[in-house]
Amino acid sequence: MKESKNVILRNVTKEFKGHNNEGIVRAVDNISLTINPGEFVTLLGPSGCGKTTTLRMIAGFETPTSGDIILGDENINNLPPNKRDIAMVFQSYALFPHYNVYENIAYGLRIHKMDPKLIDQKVSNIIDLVGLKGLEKRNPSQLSGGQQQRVALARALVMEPGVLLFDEPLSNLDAKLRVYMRKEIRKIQKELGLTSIYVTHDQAEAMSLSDRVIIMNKGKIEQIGTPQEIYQQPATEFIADFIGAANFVDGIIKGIEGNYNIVEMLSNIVRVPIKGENKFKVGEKVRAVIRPEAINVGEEGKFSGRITLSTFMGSTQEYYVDVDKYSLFVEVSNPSARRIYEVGDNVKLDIQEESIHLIKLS
Amino acid sequence: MIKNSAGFQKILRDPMLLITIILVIISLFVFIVLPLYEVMKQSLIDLNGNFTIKAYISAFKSSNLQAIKNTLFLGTVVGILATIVGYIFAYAETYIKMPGKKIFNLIALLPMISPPFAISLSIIYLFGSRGLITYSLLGIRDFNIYGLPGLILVQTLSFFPMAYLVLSGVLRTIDPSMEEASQNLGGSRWDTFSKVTFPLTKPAIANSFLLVFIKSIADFGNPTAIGGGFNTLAVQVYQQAIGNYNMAEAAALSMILVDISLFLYIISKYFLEGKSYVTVTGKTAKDRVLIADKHISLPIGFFCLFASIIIVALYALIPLGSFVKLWGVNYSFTLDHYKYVFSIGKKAIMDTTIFSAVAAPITGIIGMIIAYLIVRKRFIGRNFIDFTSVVGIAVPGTVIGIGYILAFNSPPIVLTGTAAIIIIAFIARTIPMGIKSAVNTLQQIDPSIEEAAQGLGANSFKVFTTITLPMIKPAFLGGLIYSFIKSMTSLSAVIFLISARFKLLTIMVLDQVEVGRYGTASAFSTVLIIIVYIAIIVMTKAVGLLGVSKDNIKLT
Repeated sequence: MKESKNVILRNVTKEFKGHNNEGIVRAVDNISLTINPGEFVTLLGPSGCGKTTTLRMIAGFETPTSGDIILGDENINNLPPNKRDIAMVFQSYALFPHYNVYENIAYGLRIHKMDPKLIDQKVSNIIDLVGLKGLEKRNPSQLSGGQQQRVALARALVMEPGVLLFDEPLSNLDAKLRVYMRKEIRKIQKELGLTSIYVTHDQAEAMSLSDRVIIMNKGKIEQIGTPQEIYQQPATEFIADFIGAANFVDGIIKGIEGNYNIVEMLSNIVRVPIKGENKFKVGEKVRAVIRPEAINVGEEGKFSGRITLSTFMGSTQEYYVDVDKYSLFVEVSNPSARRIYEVGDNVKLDIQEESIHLIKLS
Repeated sequence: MIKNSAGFQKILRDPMLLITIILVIISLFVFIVLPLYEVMKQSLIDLNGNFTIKAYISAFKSSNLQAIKNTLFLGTVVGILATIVGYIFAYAETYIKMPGKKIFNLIALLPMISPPFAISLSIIYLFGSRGLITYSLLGIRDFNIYGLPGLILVQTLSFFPMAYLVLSGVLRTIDPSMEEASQNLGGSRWDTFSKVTFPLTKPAIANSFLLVFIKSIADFGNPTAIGGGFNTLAVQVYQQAIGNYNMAEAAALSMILVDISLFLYIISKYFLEGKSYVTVTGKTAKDRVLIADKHISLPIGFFCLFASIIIVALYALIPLGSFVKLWGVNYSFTLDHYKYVFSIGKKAIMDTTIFSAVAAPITGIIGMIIAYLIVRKRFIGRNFIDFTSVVGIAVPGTVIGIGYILAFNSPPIVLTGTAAIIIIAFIARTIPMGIKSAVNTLQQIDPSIEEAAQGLGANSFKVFTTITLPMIKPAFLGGLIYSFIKSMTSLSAVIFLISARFKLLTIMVLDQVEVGRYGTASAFSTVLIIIVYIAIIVMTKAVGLLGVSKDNIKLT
């Protein structure tokens, strides 16, 4: 197995002509990032955020308007896609309809004029690895979605690329298979130690697969961090909202005591531990991110509220609770063992103050 | 500009692609743009090379003006009639439950693969001055089919298959669930047709009308054979150029003809094709429940049956006529016409077949390459290639013919009188359809399939040969067959380009028709149709060896 490579993007911008040649759309706006060898990184964001364009620039299908893309220690800006040590798994799989499974997987090796015996050996190994044994002679149209997905993966893996790219590869599979395949992909990636860049708009996929997640919005990088960092300390309201569910509550910094911000919110005072980079001044207005699972509904708590919606979800009970001028979304786990409140009930809310995250008002 | 320059850098990294693009652009420029430019130049200068619009003034004098009016009138009437007939056939194919649909389809396509005036010949057999029906059966002595009525009949029968293809293509892609929704909401069958199906096909109807109109006004063979005193522009161009040696006036008339045609073509391509409500996904969501209601299927079925019988009868008359001594006078059996065809006509048969056989594969391959460039590559000059390569559909053959004489008669490029000019004319005339069908096929193929190949290390040449070409083989075969048929049966362009050294079948037929030797004309036509059929079978087999499934082959 060859060595995995690092990928560096330096001030990369991509502009497209707008519709009807009017104006210019900046799909990717001056982004810089470094991906280490063997790392699994996800580009996550809503559609149109520039994540796929970024991936296609790394693959070489799009040329950056400005900026540099570096693979290993080589600037690959002017290298055509077929000369890059990169393999990609496509969203639509892009299997060659006129070749069978074996021929699809062997295609790249044959293009590189590898010794047929070696090709045979490599293809067989990969077919074993992805679990396609016995299907070598099938045509793509005779395979199920999951099998096609494996062929697409095998075709990229067999090249032993310096970097492996994934363009929303699981979006065409049903929910169960998607979860299964993402475990498989992660397992194989770790086994082979491949540098992988994965594009998705599914936050669960990003969380479960990645060493680091890169959140993109409107062509820019909003935050880079481990899944925990992204979830617990979202840099912006956009990220907090995009990753998981969140309540947003306005507050004012009343004071700073040691490692705690003293915040007035929901007509009450809470002590929020200081985390990360964000520093606030006394008197500054802030926005608090409160995850629904950090709130408990019961007989005790600082905050008083009134249930406006109560929904049984199986593993959780979901409430909407009016507190102050806000309607807070609350998830209480294991409802079967707890008292369930009905619409109209007056309740107390207990918010875990160490889970509250403060962000600056923009 | 930004996208273009980035694309341009990409092309620079790929020298083979760059060379291909340059060659294509040069060829299109020399063989499409230059001849048209020469026609325009000729129409605007006098004998001393000074600028003048005299030719245009005389182009609008009374006899020419009548030809212009005739042409527009004929185009309008035929456009409407052919679209109606085509719509009924297309509707029957996609909506109606009835037996023998496949045969109706084949019959509807028959006029596409026959010489341009085969139907004229048959109509003369039936309704001419010595016609089987008018003279022999009904005993009418002064019936005259020559002129407008004959032309309308002949052109409608010749061009409705085109309307049928356009309309059935659109009808087939209408999602049946829209019609089911209409019925579900309480709409009757008529409501559903008049408020859902028909409005959805309106752009296609307009498109079909325009395309038939363009065909009609470009038609040269039928007006010559059966037009009688009814003069059209295409014929007038020929008479001015070859009959009166008045190149300036011929050029001016050509410009008028090409302007009308291009104007309509541009409306069709840029306003109607984009307007289509039907999203082409390459597949319909599910099969349509066909209409079995006798009140609907019977009248439509009988209409198709009636039209098919007429077409089959007309075609049957051609071989029949070739074995008859003198139609209308002496119906006894003879092989004389074939003796003539295989002695004096032998060279024409050989020349036509060889030229067409040379032109077809060149057309097929270049067509696929151009389609690939248009759909998959971004570069400066792409729009030029896109427009000029397909605009040939809208340029009448007579205009191309005049343009080729003017452009290639004197240095730097002298081709007049050579086989090359005829073969190039064949290619230029037939390549647009091949490109069009390959473009359509390519657009339905996910580009990431080719990107995947490129990502795995294949260069542009490898991607084209190992991935693209195998996937568009049906379009390749279609282009090949179309090119061969249309070359074998072409008349309007090459009539300007033939010389004493080379003879062509269609021109032999026309010569025979003009002197009233219909038997020999029929024998030539029969031989031509047989060659075309053999060639279709041979080409289908040949490409089949390359691994194309026959089911994917469509005649376009």
